Amino acid sequence: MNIIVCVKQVPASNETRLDPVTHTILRDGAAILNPFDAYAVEEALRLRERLGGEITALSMGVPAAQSMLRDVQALGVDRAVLLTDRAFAGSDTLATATALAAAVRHLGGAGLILCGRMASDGDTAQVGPMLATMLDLPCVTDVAAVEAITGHSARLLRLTDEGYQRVETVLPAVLTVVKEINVPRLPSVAGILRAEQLEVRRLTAAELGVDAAQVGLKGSATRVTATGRPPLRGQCRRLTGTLEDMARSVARALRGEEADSHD
Amino acid sequence: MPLIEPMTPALSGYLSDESRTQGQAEYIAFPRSEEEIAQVLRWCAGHGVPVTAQGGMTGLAGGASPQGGLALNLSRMDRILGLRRDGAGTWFLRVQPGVRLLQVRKALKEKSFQISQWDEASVAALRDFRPGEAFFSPDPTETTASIGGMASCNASGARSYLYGATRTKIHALRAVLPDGSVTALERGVHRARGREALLPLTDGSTRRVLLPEFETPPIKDAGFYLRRDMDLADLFMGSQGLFGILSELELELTPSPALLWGVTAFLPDHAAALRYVRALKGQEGAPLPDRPAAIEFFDRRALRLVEEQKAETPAFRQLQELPEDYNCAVYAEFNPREPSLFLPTLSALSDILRRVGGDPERTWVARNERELEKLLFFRHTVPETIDLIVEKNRKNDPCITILSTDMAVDDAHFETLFHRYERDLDACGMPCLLFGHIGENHVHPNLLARNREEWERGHRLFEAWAAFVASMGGTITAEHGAGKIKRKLEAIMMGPEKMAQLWELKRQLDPLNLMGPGNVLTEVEA
Repeated sequence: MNIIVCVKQVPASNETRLDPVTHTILRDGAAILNPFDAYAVEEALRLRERLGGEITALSMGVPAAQSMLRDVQALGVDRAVLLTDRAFAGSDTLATATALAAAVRHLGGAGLILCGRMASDGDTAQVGPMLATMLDLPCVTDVAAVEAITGHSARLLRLTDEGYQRVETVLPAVLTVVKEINVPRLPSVAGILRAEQLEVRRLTAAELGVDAAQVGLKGSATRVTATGRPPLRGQCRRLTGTLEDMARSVARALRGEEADSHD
Repeated sequence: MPLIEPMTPALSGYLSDESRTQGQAEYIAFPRSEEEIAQVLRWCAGHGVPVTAQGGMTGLAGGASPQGGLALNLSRMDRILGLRRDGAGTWFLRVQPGVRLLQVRKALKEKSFQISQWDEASVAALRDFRPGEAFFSPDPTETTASIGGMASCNASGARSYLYGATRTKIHALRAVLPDGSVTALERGVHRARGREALLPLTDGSTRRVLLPEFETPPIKDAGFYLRRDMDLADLFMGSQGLFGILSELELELTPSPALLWGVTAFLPDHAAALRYVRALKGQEGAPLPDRPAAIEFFDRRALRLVEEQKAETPAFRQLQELPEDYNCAVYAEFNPREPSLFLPTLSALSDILRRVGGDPERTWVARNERELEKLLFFRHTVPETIDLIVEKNRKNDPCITILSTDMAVDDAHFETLFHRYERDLDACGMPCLLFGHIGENHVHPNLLARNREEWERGHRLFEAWAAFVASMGGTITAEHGAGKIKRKLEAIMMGPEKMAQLWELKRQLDPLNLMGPGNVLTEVEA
C-alpha cells in the first residue's frame, strides 16, 4: 500500500514569534519536524513493514523545510515532496489543505494518507479533515491504534475525551494520529547517509495546476486581525499562618470545601 | 534562629545521602555566609565537635552522612555571585558552594541571574554574555548535585571524556580551614614548591603544609590530587571535606558546542563493543574526523533492566523499543559544527560498525535536543532504576546499600579490568549489571544484593577488585569519591604507608581531627 504522510516544519522553540503586521508565525528561527507528525511518519514506516509499498512525505513550506524532509527521509521514507512557492506564502488551513489536496492528486493519490493530530505552532487540527473533504475521502481523527488493516479497509481506535472509540473505515482514507499510537524511532547512521543521496522533489503552484488565487494569503478564508494572551486560569493561593492552619486549609481544599482565605 | 541548632527528628533527612548511608549527629547548622561557616567551625573547634560538610546530599559514597557531631549544611549558600571574562575570552562564574548544578545550567542557558548583590564589574560583564554561549562542562548524572559537593569529590560525567572532570574547571576557590581562618587560592597563581605548600590566609599570614611524598595516579580520579608543584586549589578537590569547607568557587566555563549529536550502537558481544570503543578513541584504525565528547557502555543486563522498568513506569514508555538480538550498546556523543560537516564521521562510523560486527541500520542517531533528550533519559534511567531496586531490597534487610564501583585504570590496563568484571559478574550469582564511562576506562559494575549474605559477598568482590586495580596503578574511585562506603577500598589501594602520609597531611590542616569523621581515611598502626 502506498502511503502519503503529511509533515510540517514548525519552530523548534515554544516561544513562537509572530509577524507584527500579518500576525502570522515568523519562520526564521530553528525549525523541526512537528512533533505530532513524527508519530504519523513512524506509523507509516510500521505499516510499510506490514503491508509493503512506498511512503511519500509531503510538506508545504519555505525552501529551508527541505532539511526537515531530509531528516524524515533519514527515518526511511522513500520519497519527499516539498510544495514551495511564493504563491503559497501566508496560507491558512484552508489554503494549505487546497495545496496539499492538489499535490495528492498530482502524485496519483495513495492507499492511505496520514497526518499528525495538529501542528505545535498553529494548534488548529484542521488541515487533515479539510484535506479529506477536498479529496472526498473518509477521515478518522485522533487515531491511537491501527488494530487491523487490509488494502481496502481498516479497524482503528480513536482517542476521545471519554475513552476509546473503535471505528472501521474503507480505504483510501485520511487518518490523523495522536502520540499514543507509537514511539517514534530515531534515524539510523545508514538512514542519514542514504538520505543524503536522495532528492527532495520541489513543486510550485503552477506545476500542481492550482489557481494562485486559491492558495496563500489570497486563498485564505481567515485573516488574523489581532493576537492576544488568554486570561490566566490558574488559581494559585498562598497559604499563611501556622503549619497546622495551612495543613487544615490544604485538607479542606482537597475535600472540595471552601478553604479559609489566608491570601 | 540560632546558627547552630540541635538535631531533631524533623531534620533526620539530613542524616543520609543518596547512598542511603544512615548517619547520626547532635547538631546541624545552615550557614548563609563564609563568616557563618567560620563561626560554626570555631565553635566546633572550641567544643571538640566533629564536622561533616553537606551539599546536595546526592553523593553515592556516604560522604555527606554525618558520623556524630555537627552536620554543616551548605544548601542555603546557593547564590551565584558574579561573572567575569578574562583577556582570552574565557568566562568565569563565581558561586557559593550550595548552588546546584541545575541552577548554574539554567542561569547560563537563559542568562537569568539574581544580580541585586553583584558588583559593577560583574553586571557589566553580564551585558556582553549571550544566553547559552558558555556552560559549566562537568555533567554528573544527578543535576541536583551542589557545586561544592562536585568539587569535593571531583565529580565527572559522560562528557568529561572531552572536557575533563570538575577539578580542572574550578579556577579559584575560598575555603574556611578548621580553625576558622580563610584561604583564597587561584589556579596557576598559588602553587606548591615541590612538596612545600604555603596557603595564603586572608588575614595576611600563611599556613605551611608539607605534601605527602607520593603522587596520585595520572588518571581520572575522584580522590586526592597530589603532585609536586601542584596548584594549591587542588588540595581541596577530591578531599571530601577533610581539610576545610569550601565557601566560594570560581568556575571556568566552556564555550557551548554548536550541536550535540548522540550515536547509540547495538553490538553483538563485548568483544565487538571493545573494538568499537578502541576505534572511537582512535586507538585502532584512523582517528575519527570528529572526536567524541562522551563514550558510554551498557551491557545486556542494564538494557534489560530499563526495558523491564518500562512496564512499571509510564514515563519510561517514551523510550524507543530496543532492537532484537543485541548484546550490549555503546553511546557516543559528538559536537559537530554543522550537520553536513558531520557526514564524514558518520560514514567512518558506518565502516567501523561493519568491521566490528555492528549494524549501521540499527545504530540510532539523535540530532537535536529533543531526540538527544530521549537518549539521555535512557542513560539516566539505569541508575534511577537501580535506586528503585535497592530501595525495594532494603525492605528485606536494612543493611543493603547500593553496591556500585567506579574504579578506573589507564588505557593499557582497561580491557584486563573489563574482562575481570565480566568473569566475576557472570559467576556472582546475584542480579548485576555493567555500564558507564568506558571512554575514560571506568565502568560501573553494580550488584543488586537481595539479602545480607549477597551484600557481604558483593563487598568481598569489591575488595578483590580494589586490590587488582591498585596492582595496575589505578584508582578505586574515579568519580564518586571514597566517602564512607569505599573507605575500606581506599585503604586497600593506599596501603598503610601512604595512608599514614595522608593522616600526616590532615594533621597539619586539622590538628584536632574534627573534619569529615569517617570519610576516606582509615586508622593505621603507628
